[in-house]
Amino acid sequence: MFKFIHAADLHLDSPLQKLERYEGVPVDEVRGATRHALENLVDLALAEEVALVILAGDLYDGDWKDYNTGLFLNAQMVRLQEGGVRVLLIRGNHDAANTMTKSLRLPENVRSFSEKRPETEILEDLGVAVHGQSFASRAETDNLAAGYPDPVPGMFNIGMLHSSVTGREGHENYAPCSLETLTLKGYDYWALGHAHTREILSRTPFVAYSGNIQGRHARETGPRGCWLVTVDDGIMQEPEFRELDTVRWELVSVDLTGARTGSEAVDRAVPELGAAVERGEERPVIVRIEMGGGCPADVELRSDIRKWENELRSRAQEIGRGRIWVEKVVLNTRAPDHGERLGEGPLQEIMALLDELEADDETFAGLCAELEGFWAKVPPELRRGRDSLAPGNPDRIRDLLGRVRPLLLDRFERGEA
Amino acid sequence: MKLNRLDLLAFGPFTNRSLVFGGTGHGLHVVYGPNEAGKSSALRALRQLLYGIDHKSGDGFLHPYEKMRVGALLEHSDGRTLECVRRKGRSNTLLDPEEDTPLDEGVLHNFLGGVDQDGFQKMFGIDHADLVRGGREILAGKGDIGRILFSAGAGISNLQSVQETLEKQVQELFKPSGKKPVINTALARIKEVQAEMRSLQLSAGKWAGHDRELRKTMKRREEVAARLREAQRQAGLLERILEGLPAATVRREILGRLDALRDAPLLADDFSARRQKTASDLRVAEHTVTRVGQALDSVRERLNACEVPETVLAEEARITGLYQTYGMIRKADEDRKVRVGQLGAARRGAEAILRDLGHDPGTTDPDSLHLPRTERIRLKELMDEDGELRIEVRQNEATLAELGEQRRVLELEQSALKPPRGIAGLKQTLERVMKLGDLEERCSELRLSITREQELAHAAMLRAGRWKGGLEELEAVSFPEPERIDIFAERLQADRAELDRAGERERDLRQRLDGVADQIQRLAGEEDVPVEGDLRVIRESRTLGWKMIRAAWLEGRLAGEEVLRYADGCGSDPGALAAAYEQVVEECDRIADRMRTRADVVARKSALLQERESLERQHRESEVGIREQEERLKRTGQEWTGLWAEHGLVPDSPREMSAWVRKMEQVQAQLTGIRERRGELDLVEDRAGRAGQELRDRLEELAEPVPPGGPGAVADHCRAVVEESENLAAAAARVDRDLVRIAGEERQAGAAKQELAARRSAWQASWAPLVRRLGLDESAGPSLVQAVLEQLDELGKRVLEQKDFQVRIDGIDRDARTFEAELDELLGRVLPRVLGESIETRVAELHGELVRARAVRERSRALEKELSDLAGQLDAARTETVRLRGTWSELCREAGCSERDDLIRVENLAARRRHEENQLQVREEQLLGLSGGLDLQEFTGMIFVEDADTLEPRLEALQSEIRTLHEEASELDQRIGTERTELARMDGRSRAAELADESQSLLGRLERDMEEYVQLRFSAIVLKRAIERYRDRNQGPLVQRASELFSRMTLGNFSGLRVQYAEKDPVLVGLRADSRDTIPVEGMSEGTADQLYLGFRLAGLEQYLEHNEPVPFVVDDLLITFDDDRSRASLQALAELAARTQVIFFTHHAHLVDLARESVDPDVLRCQEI
Repeated sequence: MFKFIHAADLHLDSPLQKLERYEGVPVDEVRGATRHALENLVDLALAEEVALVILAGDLYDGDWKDYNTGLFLNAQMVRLQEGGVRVLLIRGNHDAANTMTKSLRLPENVRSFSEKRPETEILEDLGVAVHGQSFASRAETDNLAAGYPDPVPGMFNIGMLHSSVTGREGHENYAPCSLETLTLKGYDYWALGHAHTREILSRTPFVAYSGNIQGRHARETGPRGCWLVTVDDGIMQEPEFRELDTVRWELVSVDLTGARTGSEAVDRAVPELGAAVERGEERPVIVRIEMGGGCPADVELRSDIRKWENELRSRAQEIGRGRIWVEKVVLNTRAPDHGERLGEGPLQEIMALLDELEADDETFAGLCAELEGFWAKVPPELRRGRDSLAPGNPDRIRDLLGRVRPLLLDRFERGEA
Repeated sequence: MKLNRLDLLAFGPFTNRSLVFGGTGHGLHVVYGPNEAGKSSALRALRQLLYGIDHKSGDGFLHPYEKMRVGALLEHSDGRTLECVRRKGRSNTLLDPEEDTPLDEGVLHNFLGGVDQDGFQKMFGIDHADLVRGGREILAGKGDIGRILFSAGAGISNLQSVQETLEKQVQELFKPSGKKPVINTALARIKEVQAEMRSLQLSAGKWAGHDRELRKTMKRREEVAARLREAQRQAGLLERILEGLPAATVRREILGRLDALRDAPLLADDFSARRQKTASDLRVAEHTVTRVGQALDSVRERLNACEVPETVLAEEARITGLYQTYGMIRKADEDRKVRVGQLGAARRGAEAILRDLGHDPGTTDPDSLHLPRTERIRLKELMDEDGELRIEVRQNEATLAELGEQRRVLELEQSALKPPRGIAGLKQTLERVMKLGDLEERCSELRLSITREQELAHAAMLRAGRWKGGLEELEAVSFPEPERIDIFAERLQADRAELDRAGERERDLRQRLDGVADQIQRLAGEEDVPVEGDLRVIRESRTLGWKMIRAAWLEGRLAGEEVLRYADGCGSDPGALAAAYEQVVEECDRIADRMRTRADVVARKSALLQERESLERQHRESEVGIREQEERLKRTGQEWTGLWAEHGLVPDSPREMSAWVRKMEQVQAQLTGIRERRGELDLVEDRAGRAGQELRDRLEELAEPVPPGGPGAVADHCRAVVEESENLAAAAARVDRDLVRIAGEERQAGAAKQELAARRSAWQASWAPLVRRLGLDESAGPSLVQAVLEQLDELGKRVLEQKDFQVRIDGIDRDARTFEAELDELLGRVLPRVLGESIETRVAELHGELVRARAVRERSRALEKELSDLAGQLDAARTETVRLRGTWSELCREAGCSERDDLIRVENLAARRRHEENQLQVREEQLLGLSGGLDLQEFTGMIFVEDADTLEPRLEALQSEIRTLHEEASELDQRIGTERTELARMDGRSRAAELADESQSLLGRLERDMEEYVQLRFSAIVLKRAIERYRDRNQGPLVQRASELFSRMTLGNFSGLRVQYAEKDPVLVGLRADSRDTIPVEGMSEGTADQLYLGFRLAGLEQYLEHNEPVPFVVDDLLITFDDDRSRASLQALAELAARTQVIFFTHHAHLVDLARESVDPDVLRCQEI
């Protein structure tokens, strides 16, 4: 009998994205989360006395240049070496892009598979054959799996592959292949990397993504870790998922349908926040709060979202016992609409203007142009991707425009400022 | 829309109160409510009716939240009406008052013409504070017409400050070329952090470079170390040779000298010392013998000269004793003088006392006055008794006075007490009632529990459903027993299962049939498979053919017709027969062969055919079975439905019905419980009534007033009556008891008084004789007796003292006489010459004689001791001389010589040999220390082989090389250290990653700030554009209408308003009526600015109402700072507005109501009071 661990997408030293610090959040506990997750992996391997650790690609971020990261990885691999654990790894798209990958001398217990051709490592003592191939370049578009060798008869065959198996959304389509290619290969276990969400694609043979070992932003929620697999006399037992993450990301959705005031909205969010803290067990939990539903509170919330965010953070602090970090509050709420519109009047003038801006791209562009000097200052990190803060991303900017009406109504309401 | 009625059903202080706003047209409704009447609550009720009751309402103080209700009757401009009620809650809060069902908010929204809460409060509501704020805004805005129109049109009174705040916040967040604003600061900080992060990132090349350098340096360091070891080894050898060279040379010379001394004896190390000591000791010993002999002779002479006086020394002890006794005799003589003085003083004291007591000291013997001890004691006792008697008499008198006082007080109290009443009956009844417990409480508990149980039962019944009747009917109903339902459940299940089984069987048979047919089909398709029947037919044909051939062959008979048929029409000749027969025989063989070769197939086909037949039969039977079973199931179902028909119920499955019946039975059980409680309630109520009546009867018997209220109150009153009466009785008893006690105590005190008088006379009888014994009158009191006794004691003491002193003086005189007799006796024997001298001289002489004799004796003893010591010393010196001469002979023998002088020469030779040998050993030890492990011979060999002159230069060259190597090694060590430090610094630290985190954190914050900036900028721009557009569209008509209203409200002080086009934006100015002057807005008074604002508000409203559904304009005490004339003008303006929409004017100033009555058309005005 022997055990092995399948993990992938360590993304060591990848920062927690756009995570604003504020008073009372567990900064120290969150620092170095990806490193601690790797330490957890090594601890697990030693505690479970696994024979083999399989890392299916993406040890680093592609554009991360600090050799210290590599040295840290080495230190952890040495710990495994001292415990008599062998490590097999393939390089993924990020590793291929990273210069460190080539220059780092790995300890002797670590074998990195070639990027030129698929290779097979035979572990006679375990009765295991591991097949794998690394990425040669960042954008590997060949179907690598197709070229993998036939299984070695009489052995437990494991395939390591960094790939986007057909139908995995949200990840670049590298080393594409179909699930069928994998299941028909005749291997016993396919250790996949690349997709950051854990997923079992097939049970016989077992084909699975382990997901990354530590979530790094609001879309990487829930437990993160690795598969711990026990093979007894060539027969695999059901793989166990083991959590490794030291910081948990959670998405808290709050239904505000019918809520009348901002305070009520906060009250509704509180139990959900409590539940998120519970889910994180003892870890620090980073929470994104998404509020939705038709409600009169929408106006109050949108008029000063910062204020309500602070309110939620403060309430979270009370229930989170120093472990909760509210990353952001996203409003998907809408004001209840009775269908009719007030006729002519000053306020109606504002509504009419906003309607025009909403409907007419040219007017909208004119409005954006008034902020010309500002757009140029938006740093590149905030201009990337679907959240880009630039006139070129009208959905995002129109969302901000949507806050104008509540803001003005609220200011008028408050009397003298 | 107008409001016809506002129903304050349960809101704030109101309960079911309605305000009616009826009448034709819209009307100006003045609602007057003095302070505390609830004016503000009514205002809130109106708003919250339309838009929902506040989540945290403060109007729930009287009616709890869930009961809060406010209703209204509304009328749309198109004539529709809407009656509705608003409750507090989260959803479905608008209700139809008739049905109590939720109403669609959309309908109300339609009545309001789409005006939301904000708009309603701002556009259709105004109070004094709004007016003042609006006026101030106009003054501050310096007549900016855009802002005036906009804020008055929307009812916003803080437009300018909103705009300014927006601008300020924008500036605080970001300036395109600033450094301080939040976003600018954050951008700079992010750059810093990222720069620091990059500087901390370690490149792979840098690490590898240091790693390579370290390895290279370490290799060189090892080489240097090896060379250094070799050079040091060589240098060490040369150094040793150089150092060993002098010692080796000296050694060689010593060895030569030793050779010459080889005959000298080897004497012991201490030989010389021993020889010298022996010679010196011998000289000393011989001198001592001579010196001691002379001293001995001198001492003997002095001893003979000494003479010791033995007579005196024989009396030594007695002389010493007498000398000591003489000291004491002298001291006693001194004492005697003192005692004689004391004796005289004591005698004089006794004589004085005697005179004091009236006696003559010359004649009276003091002993005759002595009073015996028993009589003294008796006198003392009588004196004590006298004191006790006096105290007791005083106490007795006080006790008698105190008791008399107590008795008087109690007698007063007794006469004041009320007579007691008979309450035993009342008390008894009350106790009985108390035992029954709190009956009223029990009643209300029971009532409550009945109501609750009933509600529960009702709810349970409704939940269970199905039952159409009421609770009362339900209680009486009996549903089918569970056992019956179970039987039906089993039957229906069994029937269904049976039907399923039959169906299953039918399907199974059909499948098997299909299978069999399929197999038969397949066999047939494969090839021809003959069966037994086929063979039988062809064999019969063969036998027939053979019969015909046999007939033709043996009998020559050919049956033409048969042959023709047999040969299948091929002819009737023998050839055709033979051919046909041959064919038949072949066929017969073929079939037989085929049956033999395919015997298995043949057998299977036969079996299959049989099986098909059997299966078809079974299938038909099973179809019949299914139909029968279906029929049975249907019948059971009908029976089941029939079971419930009597209750008018249509049953579901038995399981559901069973559950339902269980629920119903629970409800029935609850109902039974309720009935039992009702019974109990009746019982308790009855008991309570009766108890109350009994108590009332008892009170009447006692002529006590009967309190109102139930049995509880009556019982409480009864308890009070009983308690009061009992307290009274207890007080009377206490007074009686005390009086009896006091009478007894007074009797005791009288008896004591008599006893005291008796004791006094007895005392007098004992006292008189004793006093007379003292020579006093019997009337003398204890104090006088006490004084006389003390005088007598003092006299006794003086007499005793006189006797003591006399005894002491006599003793001293006797001792002096005895001493002198003894002294003279001794002198007679030892020193007769001093007899007759004074006693001092006698004693001193005798003592001096003894001292002198003692001195002579001491000297003689010392000389004897010296003589004995000297004789001992002489013996010892002689013995030592003999011993030392022996030792000397021994030394000569050791050195192998006989003569004293020869001994010293031999001793010198031996010393030289020893010296050389020691020198040799020193050199050899030196050389061995340098030999580096070689033996002495090898090492000296090596030394003498070397060329002494080349040694030093060679050594210097080596040492120089060693120094250079050391320097290089040190340099290399330093380099290794540096590289190691560099590599150690590259320890996989995470600082750069932490900075990346920090940079992300700052970006997160920045993103938010940037969003806020965009939001604020957009808001400011949109607001500015809206103001401009509204002004462009509405300036003309609005200014004109406002101008008219303003002129009237200022009572003609201003003729109107005008827009002036200054340099920048158009500006509003006022026109003076009496001149053509224009007054800038900021030049107007605050009150005028208020009226200007009101003018624009009303103008804006009128304009809005031209195109939209009217909404009531709610005015809250607006005119409190206006004077009466301006108030009238303003009320008229409001009345004009009432032509377009309903105006509701709340006030708590009665005079405004009067002003309205004076100035407003009575058809339009409607007044009411809250």
